Amino acid sequence: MSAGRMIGIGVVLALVLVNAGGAQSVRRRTLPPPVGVLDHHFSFITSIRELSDGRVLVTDPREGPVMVADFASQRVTPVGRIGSGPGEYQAVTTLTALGGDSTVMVDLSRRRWTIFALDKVVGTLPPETPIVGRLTEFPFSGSRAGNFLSRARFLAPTDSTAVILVPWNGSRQDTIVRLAPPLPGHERFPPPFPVQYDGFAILADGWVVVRRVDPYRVDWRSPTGSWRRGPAIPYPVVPVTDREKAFYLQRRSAEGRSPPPGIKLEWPETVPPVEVSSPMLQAPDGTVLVRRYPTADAPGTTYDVINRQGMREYQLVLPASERVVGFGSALVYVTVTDEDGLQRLQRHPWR
Amino acid sequence: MPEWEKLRAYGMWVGDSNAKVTILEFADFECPFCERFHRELASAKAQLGDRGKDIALLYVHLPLGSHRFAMPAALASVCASDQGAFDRFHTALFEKQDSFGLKSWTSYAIDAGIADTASFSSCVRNTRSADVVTAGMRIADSLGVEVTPTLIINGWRYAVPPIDSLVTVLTRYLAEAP
Repeated sequence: MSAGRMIGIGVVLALVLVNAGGAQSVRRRTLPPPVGVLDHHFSFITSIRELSDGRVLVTDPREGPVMVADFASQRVTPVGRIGSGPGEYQAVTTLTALGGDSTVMVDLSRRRWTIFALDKVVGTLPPETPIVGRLTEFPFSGSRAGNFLSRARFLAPTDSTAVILVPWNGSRQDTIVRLAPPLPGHERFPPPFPVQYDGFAILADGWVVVRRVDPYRVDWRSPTGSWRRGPAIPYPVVPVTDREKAFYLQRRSAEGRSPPPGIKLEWPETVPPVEVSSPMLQAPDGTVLVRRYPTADAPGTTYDVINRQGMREYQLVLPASERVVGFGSALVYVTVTDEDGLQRLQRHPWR
Repeated sequence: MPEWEKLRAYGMWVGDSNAKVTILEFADFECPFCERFHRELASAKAQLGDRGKDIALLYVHLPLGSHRFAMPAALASVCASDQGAFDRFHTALFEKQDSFGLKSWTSYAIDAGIADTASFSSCVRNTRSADVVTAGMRIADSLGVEVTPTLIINGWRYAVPPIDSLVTVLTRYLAEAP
């Protein structure tokens, strides 16, 4: 199917208007039907990378090696091997698309990065590689040009932490913004449920997105270094009632991650706006998806679709069993989790 | 008591449980990075001299399915713990990690100075599961810990262990401790 045809289908997205925060109505959209569904069952897909020939690299650490999936033939085959030998990688993590059909799989724990060309492992960056040495913290993200965004090394809790930009050659690290704690990956442990923190990511085209939670807004930094501060994004204030607590605990239980017994949960007064652990993903049209926190009355998977001015264009709403895992050149990739907890991968046109 | 300290019930202590600094480590005896952290921690404590005595490790079992000997080693360590020798036994395991499958658990027990090897051997033969191991795996899952080693130092989580700066990190926590 051509991209034009897919875009044509994408335009027929269902539109409804809802009251988002009492003062503003927001359009809500669903996705058009999928144009491809993989029969293969996965356990937990952590990332995808669409190749120029339409095949897709998939990481599912619970299933073993990186896989390449061909929607046309329905074949899913391993890419490389897990091991310590030449051309092997020691762990399956997440994929970052570089230019062309190059991809890198960053392994912070072991300080080895694996480079893929199409569906072949072509190299490994060892610990002494400058960028591998500079990038030590979660979360991280990378652009097509190989510029990576992360945090300065976490030594101990401080008043603020630097978000650093490191070029592919690792020659330097530039602090582009400082964020106040709590911070992703190093929150006080166990966190109050659910914790909120500011998020950041560099997107494929080099723009940096910073998602603030107080107030909820999205700021942008262009590749030339200029900042755009987004307006506060309204959202409904939902009190954390016993019903909301039960809904939260049921979700955690369904994920197999009930809070530890005997630990008192520190509930906030209201349901926070953002599902902070969900990555911000860049759509082909340059917008970014920010996942909203589900509530008992809105249990589906909802994303705010934010443009480069920091304005919310609309909300994308999926069933609770579905989530966006990545984008291709004109497609959005969605995982669908069944009642047994197994996942399938499907792709839909993106407007 | 901070809530995170309730996690103390899920692990095995190496050092004084009332120490100023507690490193909770989700670990796997067959994991090479856990072995490296074990070495680096010993080195850091040695560099800190007497202050190193104020640092305790709480080992929480997270034997990974991809490691053939991780679960048997974890269960053997429970048998060693029954004889009050978890500290020495876990060091023996890491020091000869490359001999897993070639050397008996009883041989590791001898290395660790466990006197009653008959009871230890009997325990290893008859132990198919242990609450402390199961609990460690369950707590890791509930907290989203998927890689080893994952550290929680005085309640702050380190998704990637600060191995290169361990002395600096521990010095800061020691200085901040009441």
